[in-house]
Amino acid sequence: MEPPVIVADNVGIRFTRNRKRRLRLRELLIHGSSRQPSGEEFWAFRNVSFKIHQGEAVGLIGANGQGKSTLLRLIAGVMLPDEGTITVTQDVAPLIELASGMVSDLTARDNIYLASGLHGMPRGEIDERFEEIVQFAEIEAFLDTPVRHFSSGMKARLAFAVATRLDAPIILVDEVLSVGDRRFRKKCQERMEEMVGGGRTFFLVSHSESDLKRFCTRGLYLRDGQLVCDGPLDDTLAKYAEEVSGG
Amino acid sequence: MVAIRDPGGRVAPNRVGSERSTRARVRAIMTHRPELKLLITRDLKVKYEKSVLGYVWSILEPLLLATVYFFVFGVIMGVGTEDYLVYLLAGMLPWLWASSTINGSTGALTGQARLVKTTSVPREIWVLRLVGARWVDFALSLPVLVLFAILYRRAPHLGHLALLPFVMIVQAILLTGIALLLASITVLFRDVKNVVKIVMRLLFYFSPILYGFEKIQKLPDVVVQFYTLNPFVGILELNRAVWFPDELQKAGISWVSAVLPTIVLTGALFVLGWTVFGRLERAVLKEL
Repeated sequence: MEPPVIVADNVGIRFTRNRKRRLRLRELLIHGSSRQPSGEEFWAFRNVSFKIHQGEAVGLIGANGQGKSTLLRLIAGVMLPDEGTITVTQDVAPLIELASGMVSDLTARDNIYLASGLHGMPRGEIDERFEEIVQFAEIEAFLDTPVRHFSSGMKARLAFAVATRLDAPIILVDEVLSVGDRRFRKKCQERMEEMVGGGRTFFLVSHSESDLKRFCTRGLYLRDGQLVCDGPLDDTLAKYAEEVSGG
Repeated sequence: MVAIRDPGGRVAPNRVGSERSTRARVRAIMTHRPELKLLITRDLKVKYEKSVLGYVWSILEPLLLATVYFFVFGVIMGVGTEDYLVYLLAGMLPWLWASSTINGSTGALTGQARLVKTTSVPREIWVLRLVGARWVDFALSLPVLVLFAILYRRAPHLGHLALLPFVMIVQAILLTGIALLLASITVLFRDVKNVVKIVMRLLFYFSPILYGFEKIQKLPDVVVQFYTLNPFVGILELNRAVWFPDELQKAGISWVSAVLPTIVLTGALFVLGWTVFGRLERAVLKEL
């Protein structure tokens, strides 16, 4: 069997309850992980371990505030765990906070080059895909308009178009299927389905049972800072439903 | 261990876990050089290409400042040295590289929070990009200095000119260290920004820009020692020694002893900045 592409080994991350976080000299001198957590800190989750193989489509389930998006950010490498390790052996296309990844002062054209470039796509390849991205996002007429004049739907469309053309073997999706109007949403879902095939690894955060069922085969359920269930999607969804209704 | 492999076969080992080793961080930065280049060219494009006066704007500031100081100190007070305008520019240009980088460093992460939070390029890149872009600004402003040197018929001292690339590299390392330190600390401690602004204002007068180091040497030893703690002293002195070779002789020091304290301080500040940035990275990403 091929080695897994994502391995989470006892991953934990903690946050400070107090928003006005003070810089402690201790943090500069002693490394964080050896430190005892103080009262004002809490663990978003702890001891989360799983292995994901290439081609798997995984749905992440849980109530709001259980750390689903945080876990996705850890896999994307835009946050670092406070304990444990996350190993990702292939390139990742994060469809996270889509619209906020666009720089509002730059034109759509510049944003496409910047966003694709920052995700490691060489310039020649961006040139090749440029038309395709623009067409998918349906922004031909606004290519040289600064993105700050875009509606939020247009921004999301542009970002989705860029992110799904990155051709990365691992795709992380955080509630972006609700992008745009109904017609565009359908287009996105079709695009996602196209990507789910072809050996790509999928990680989807969603509250929509139908989306989860449509794209995913395996489910991870996060509750109270623990990974309480990891199994076939239907089983995980059933457990979630049971706990939510049964209390 | 994290090794991110993309379709191009690029491997960016990136240990996402407890402590990341210096080697892993350096390797991650090296594999993301294309992104660094992209960010620097974008910076410069916005600055130079988008407006007709782009280049003029960038050299106007040092030129105006130099003219004002020339007028105040050279003409009104009459304390300027020979060819004072060239003298001022020779110190002012590297200083502006330093001050624009250091003042900008407090926003290197906070100003780009959205991009930093959505892309996994090594966070150091956002700081290196600032140092690099301001370095290019500095290089592009050098022709102005050369032009005035020609107008004043000053020939460069070739030995010192040969040292200039070395001095520039020292300055780049120094600025990277300081910027890494300030960029990460500012995220957790927003008022650092204001402190930095004031400190840089003061440091301008405590650096050999308007005057030469030999003026300081006439003061008590304690003052001289304290003054040499400013790492920019050696850099500015050597930049000026290209056009004013007797500058170092007047101070009674060789270029080696002028640059030695700077190199020591550069090494220390770089290690400090690099270490603090690495230690704070985790907290910074949560706080952005």
